[in-house]
Amino acid sequence: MLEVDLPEPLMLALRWLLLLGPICLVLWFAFVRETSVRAKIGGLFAFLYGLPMIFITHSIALHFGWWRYGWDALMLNGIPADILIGGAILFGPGLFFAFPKVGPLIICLPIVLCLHAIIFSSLRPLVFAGPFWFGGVVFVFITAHIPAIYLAKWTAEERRLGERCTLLAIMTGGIIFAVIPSLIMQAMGGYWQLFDRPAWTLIVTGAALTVTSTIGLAGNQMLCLQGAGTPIPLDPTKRLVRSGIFAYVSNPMQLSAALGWIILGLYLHNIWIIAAAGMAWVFVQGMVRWHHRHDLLKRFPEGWPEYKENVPEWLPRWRPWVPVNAHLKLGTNDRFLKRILKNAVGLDLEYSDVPLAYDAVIEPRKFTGWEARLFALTHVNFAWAVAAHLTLIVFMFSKALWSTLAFPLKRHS
Amino acid sequence: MFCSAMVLAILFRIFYAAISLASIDKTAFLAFPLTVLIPALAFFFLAGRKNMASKEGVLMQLGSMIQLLLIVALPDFALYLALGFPVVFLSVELFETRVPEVLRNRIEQRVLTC
Repeated sequence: MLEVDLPEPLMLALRWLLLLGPICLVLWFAFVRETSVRAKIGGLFAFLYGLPMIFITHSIALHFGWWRYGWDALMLNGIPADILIGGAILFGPGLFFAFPKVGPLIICLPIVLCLHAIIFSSLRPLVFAGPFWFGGVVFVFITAHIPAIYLAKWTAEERRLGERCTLLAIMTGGIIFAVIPSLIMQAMGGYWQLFDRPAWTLIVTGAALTVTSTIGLAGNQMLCLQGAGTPIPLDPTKRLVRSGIFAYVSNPMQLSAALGWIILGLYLHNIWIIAAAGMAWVFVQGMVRWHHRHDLLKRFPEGWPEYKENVPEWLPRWRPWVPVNAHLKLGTNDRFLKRILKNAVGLDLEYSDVPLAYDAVIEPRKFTGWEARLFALTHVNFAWAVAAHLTLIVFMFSKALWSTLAFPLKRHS
Repeated sequence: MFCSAMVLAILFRIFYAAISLASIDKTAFLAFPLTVLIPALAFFFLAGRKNMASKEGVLMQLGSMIQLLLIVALPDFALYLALGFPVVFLSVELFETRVPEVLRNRIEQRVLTC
């Protein structure tokens, strides 16, 4: 490992290069070389995933003293914003465009071992390496850079939709709960005093954030399962989704973000983070409605107007709107479920000895077993729908994770 | 007009970056790529797009260009302006959906033919 004193002008130039270099690389591939539209979208998603993940992992690194950055320009939580953005571009669209056919592990391993291992300790005053810095670098690559390049690859190849939606959900959570509050506190004042409050407030806040996050994650999950797409308009769904959480509210993700900021702002005693909920409203009024008019209305001219008329944007209905009754086959012995579903809306029950099965009718996918029970519960009221979706998220994620670990060579479409 | 204003703003920022490089505080120099070059690049990219699909798209394009110009020209307010970017889209949306049609057409005609 090298540890030499490099001149400051070289470090200043390197700081410029860490942002401008990746930008030039991406612009070259995006506009000069032939890069497909799907690859460009994948590259954008990789950048958007990398941004919050690099921010979070570098914040952890700073907290534990693995390294720290020099100079005092453009600092966001002690991380230079230009290095953050340049890193998200390079270890996202940059490397993906440059090596589209190479696996992310093969791309990143030489960089970790050669570049970082050899010269990281010689980059003062750009960065000062602390103890365990190499472990920190590996941690950043595993959680931020490698998944970002995979996200780009899978998006370009239109496969592994479940994994893509999971990474996009992590990306959204990182932007909502880490990046934007940090930017707000940078601009308006405030601190990340997460553990300086009484334990009970932390528990209550955690519980409240779990509920509000479930609303957003449920939206993501439904668009993936029934819409065969992602929540991002650039990689849209192939179908209009009107069941599950979407039977109660048409903007579950924006609602989730707004509520999340209110709760986080209350916990951190920061009025400006609470005010970010207002920005979520502005975003819906501006961008989302424009998207609804110019995309959803054009793609789903028959389903969208009726849906918009019956399902509110912000304040969820207590009971679901179901245009066509769904169908549930359940056993006569399932008394607990029968009792709850007595009040279900838009759900036809058939009692038989065949296995439990749920068919939303207006959606393509059918479910059996525990998933069928949980989807049936989304027909009762909003509270049951959120509880059912929380269980579905945990259940289906665990099932998918187990499937991936137990059968690593299985190809997903 | 907008492009000239942007070029002027960039020249001012180059001047201050050069002074910063020669001084102990390198902040203005280090901030130059992110707070000047990137917004300027986005500005000229938007300025070069001539074939927007709708009048609404053109208004969003203009609004974004004005916001980017302000970000470069007013470095002390750059972060607030960047955080306030959704307001541009809201303004255009409200203009398109709430302003009376006669007034809207007149304003669009003046703005879009400039």
